[in-house]
Amino acid sequence: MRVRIAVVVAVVFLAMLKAQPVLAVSMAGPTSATVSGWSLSSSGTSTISGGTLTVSALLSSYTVTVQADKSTMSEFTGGAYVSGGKRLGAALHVITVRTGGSGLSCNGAGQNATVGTGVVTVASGPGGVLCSDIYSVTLSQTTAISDTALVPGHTYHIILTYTLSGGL
Amino acid sequence: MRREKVILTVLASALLAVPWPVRAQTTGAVGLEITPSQTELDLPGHSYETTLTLFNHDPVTYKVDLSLEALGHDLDGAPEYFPSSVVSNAFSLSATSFSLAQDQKKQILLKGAIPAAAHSIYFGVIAAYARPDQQQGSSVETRTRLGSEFLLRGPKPWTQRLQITDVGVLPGTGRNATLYAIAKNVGNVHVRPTGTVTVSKNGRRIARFAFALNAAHKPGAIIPGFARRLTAVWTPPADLTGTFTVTATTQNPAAAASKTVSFRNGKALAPDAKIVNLSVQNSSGVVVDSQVTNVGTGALTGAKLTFVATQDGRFERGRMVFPIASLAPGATVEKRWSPGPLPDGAYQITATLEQGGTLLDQRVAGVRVGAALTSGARTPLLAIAGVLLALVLAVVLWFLFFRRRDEDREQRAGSRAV
Repeated sequence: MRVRIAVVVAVVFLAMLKAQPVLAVSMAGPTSATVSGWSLSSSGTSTISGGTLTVSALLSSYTVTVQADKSTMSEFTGGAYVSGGKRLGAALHVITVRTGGSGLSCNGAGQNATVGTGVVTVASGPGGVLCSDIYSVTLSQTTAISDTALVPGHTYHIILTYTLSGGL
Repeated sequence: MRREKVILTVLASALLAVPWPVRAQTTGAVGLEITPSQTELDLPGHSYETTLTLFNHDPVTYKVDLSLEALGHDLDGAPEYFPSSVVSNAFSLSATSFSLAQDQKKQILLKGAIPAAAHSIYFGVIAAYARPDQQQGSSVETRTRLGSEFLLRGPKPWTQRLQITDVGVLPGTGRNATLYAIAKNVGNVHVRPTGTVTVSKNGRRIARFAFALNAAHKPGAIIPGFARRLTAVWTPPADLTGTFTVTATTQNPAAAASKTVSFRNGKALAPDAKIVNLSVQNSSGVVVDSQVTNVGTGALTGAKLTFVATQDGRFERGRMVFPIASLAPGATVEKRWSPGPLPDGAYQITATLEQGGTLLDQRVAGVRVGAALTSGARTPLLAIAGVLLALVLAVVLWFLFFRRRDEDREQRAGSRAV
């Protein structure tokens, strides 16, 4: 009987070694991601919640990156950017902090990322079995007295793209 | 007993021979899920096809758009995707736009081949998805994407070659220091090197560490043409002062390099600066904006920021070097580059920050100039059109040839009758 069990275990183990590991990642959010009417102070740093980001990674480490469509928040009205419009001097920051999750050794880490049109990492983790990491997202924008106030109906605007990939 | 052994052997053979099915759903998954998230294979030939599965776990309907982009990575191994006509001509997807309601899944066929002249290909299938309220913010709009990475190597022979372009030490948090080697893949397939870094004084070894792994038993991947920072964290003795030799050695493939570094009271005396922002935009000409911040404790002097524009990751089309004479601790400097008119195509813009022989940071961003080239997904349609055209030509030629021959026969028959 022991021999049979040992053989079965060995067979399953060998099969697992040969099988191509099937890795999966999924992402929800950021929830409450729509930010409208963000009132920026004339100088200093303004922050606002960018929602909650939940990542699940099966047998795979993962990386979440963010990139923007503009180097800094730019003048926007009527659903489009203003051609030759004004833009803020400083780049937007996306700050993620792990606030919860589930699974063994699922200890992802958030980061403070300076956003541009190139990708930058905002969160990464080792993943695992039944693993999920929950991050709170905060948007932080520094303004200076040299930044121009906009006419009514115009806002400073930016589009953020979050991308979840398996770890290389 | 003998029969049981035979049955077990047959079962084992079946298990080993039959490929395991692709999972469609992860327990505990959230939002939109993509399976597989990473595929790393050594192919017996150049052709490859597989099925990807997308599953919506959210109580909303997502509109999903799929695309193919070239895969690269930054110095720390974070995946980056770039527009690439090489990839979009080599592979195609069975569907590129669809909606997924809650608990619905969609299977997509990915099909293509590594280009004949290449030994490998690296790309991502990008699933961009959104719910209606996600893109209406007046201040900040959000888009979300999932990437399924493909690292495919064709048949051997390969060239697996690594070049260590820099070795050194960076001051870390608290009393820690980060020993590092910048390893660039100068071969034609990706590699996952392991290795060690040692600190020595006059030939006497003080410390030796293995480079950190990307995951358990898995060294980080380096894609051809890209560089990666291999690191090890060290807590040096509090009284460590003087100059020391740092030596990095890698295996699979083998490479080595050394450099002299300085410490004072356990603190690494080395510059530390980051490219905190790299933005590339194409509106009436490509414009590259970048910010460099000195995150070290001393002034950064004699540094330079180099921008290089490379078409399809192969042909250099522009280069600019900005000297950074001096930058105080905590200070940031902005640099802007307009490379001028560029031929239509997919570009990678690489920003490299160096001081002397020390590579401080490197970032890459992608941009497309002009319209995208014909996608490989259209190849079957073009082939069908070509076959139809050939058939029409054949019918015309056949008609002309045989009609002429029949006319000739009739003429000859007529002559004989006369």
